[in-house]
Amino acid sequence: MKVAPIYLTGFFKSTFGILLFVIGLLSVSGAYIAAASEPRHFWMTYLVAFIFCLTLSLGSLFFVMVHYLSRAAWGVVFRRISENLMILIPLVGLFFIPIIAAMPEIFFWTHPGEAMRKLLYLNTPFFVCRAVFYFAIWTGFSVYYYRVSINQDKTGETGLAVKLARIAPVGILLYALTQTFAGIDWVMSLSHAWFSTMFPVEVFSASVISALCLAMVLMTFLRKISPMFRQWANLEHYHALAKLIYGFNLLWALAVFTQYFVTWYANLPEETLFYIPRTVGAWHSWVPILVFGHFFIPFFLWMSRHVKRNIIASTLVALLMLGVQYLHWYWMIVPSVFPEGLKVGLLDPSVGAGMMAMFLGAFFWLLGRRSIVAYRDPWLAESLSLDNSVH
Amino acid sequence: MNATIFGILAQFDSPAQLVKAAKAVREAGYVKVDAYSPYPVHGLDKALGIGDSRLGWIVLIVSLAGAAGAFWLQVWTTSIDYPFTIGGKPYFSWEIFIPVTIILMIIAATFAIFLGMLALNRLPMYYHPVFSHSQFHKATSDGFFLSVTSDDARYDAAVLKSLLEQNGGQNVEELEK
Repeated sequence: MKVAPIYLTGFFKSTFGILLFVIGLLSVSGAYIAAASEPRHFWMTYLVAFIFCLTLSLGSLFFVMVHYLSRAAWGVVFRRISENLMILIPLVGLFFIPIIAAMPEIFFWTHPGEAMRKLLYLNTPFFVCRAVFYFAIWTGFSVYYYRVSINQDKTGETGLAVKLARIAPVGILLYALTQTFAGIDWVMSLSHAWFSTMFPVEVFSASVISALCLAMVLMTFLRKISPMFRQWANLEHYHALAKLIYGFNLLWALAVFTQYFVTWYANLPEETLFYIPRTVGAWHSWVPILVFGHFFIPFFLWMSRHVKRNIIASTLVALLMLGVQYLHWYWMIVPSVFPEGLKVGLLDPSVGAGMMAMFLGAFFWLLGRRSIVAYRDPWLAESLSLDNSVH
Repeated sequence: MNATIFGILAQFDSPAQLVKAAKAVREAGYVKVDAYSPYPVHGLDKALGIGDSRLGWIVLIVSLAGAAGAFWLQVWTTSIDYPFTIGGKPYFSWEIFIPVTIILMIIAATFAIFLGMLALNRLPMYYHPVFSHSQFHKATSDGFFLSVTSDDARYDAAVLKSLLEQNGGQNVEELEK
């Protein structure tokens, strides 16, 4: 097979991305103006959308680093998709700036007398410093990995991939620490009296699932618009990717269930306060959607290799999981501020879909500037000849 | 078809030859074809036209039955037959039954995989007609073998012998049961 760069052409080269971004920006700012009477609702749904975009970028950063770390070859053909998702971290950082401005609406611990003995950690200056630190680390690693990978397209030097593999352990360690604390700061601290040591695992597994599901959906989309990419990314890659997501889905289910189980069993007031609105209170009807939509339906569908090896079916499962992941974050975040329930209206999709449109718009604009496959990666040939029946 | 004949077995020098011969024999219309090699050979299962294993379905059914049995055992013992208050929880608290249910499902699946694999491969088997081939001991080191058994509708020893030899087969021997 002839190895050459693949570029997006025509409408998808840059117009599509810019168009998506503008539509998204209009949608989010329109929602902000329309929601002037209920700012708290707007900011909560904004936080959900922010966390969702963040997990997409962070999960992709993890995937790229672990791909180099394990010297994997199978994913090289679609790794550029994940690379372009992880490089959106600075954009997600921009999404975070309004949250700092709206902190009193979102985080109750900013109110005087609320955080009490947790004040040493939960105070605004330290919170902002930590956020800057997390984004600095993530931006540093994603920019470094992206630039080296782009450089390899130009020079074809195999040593660059080895260099990235060598730095991956440091990246993974820092990633684990920063994501843990970011999850505590931006989601767990919404119910500042509550705590859970399983929470970082839930954030981590949710990030990887969302990022890989989005990569699969985008892979299907790129196959549609690029005939060359269709030849390269085949059902073997879908099969392998589905297996990886399947494993992380089990990890997610384990994290979510054990976190609930331990709290339910001990039945201590400072722990159950998190679950009462979510499982028996106003939000309990969301639980079956998560349990079936995220776990049981994908679990049984993707159990079969015929589904994993069917591109349309696999993409639909990935889309389902992406949608339910969004609901999962909504269910994790919003009941902390609205324990008595909230009327979900037009505001929520216009902020959520709007921010996703901005995120994907930036993704497509960046993707159009480079080859959509890292075509001089030393392991590309191995990735193209992937065969799941050989082990 | 002779009731005392097992089939015909040919030896090949390399995995590539084995795959090529398997394809040729399948293309000639034979279906009861099997291969023996010291290690898994890339592409051989496709060349032999081996379909999906039934093991997955067996494991699915057995593990679901294991999960249901484990769940029911706990429900019946602690909330129906002898209702027991533990930690002030309701008699029927599904949460508490989940860990044991999952573990027993995994155990059931493991047994189904192991025993099902043995059963589908008809193992343990102490004797097999291919052992009587003069060179078959090489199947554990450097010999690659292809067999066509006599229950194939088109079985004809002379035709098969020349077909196998054309494709690089050596020591082509017809074996008795």
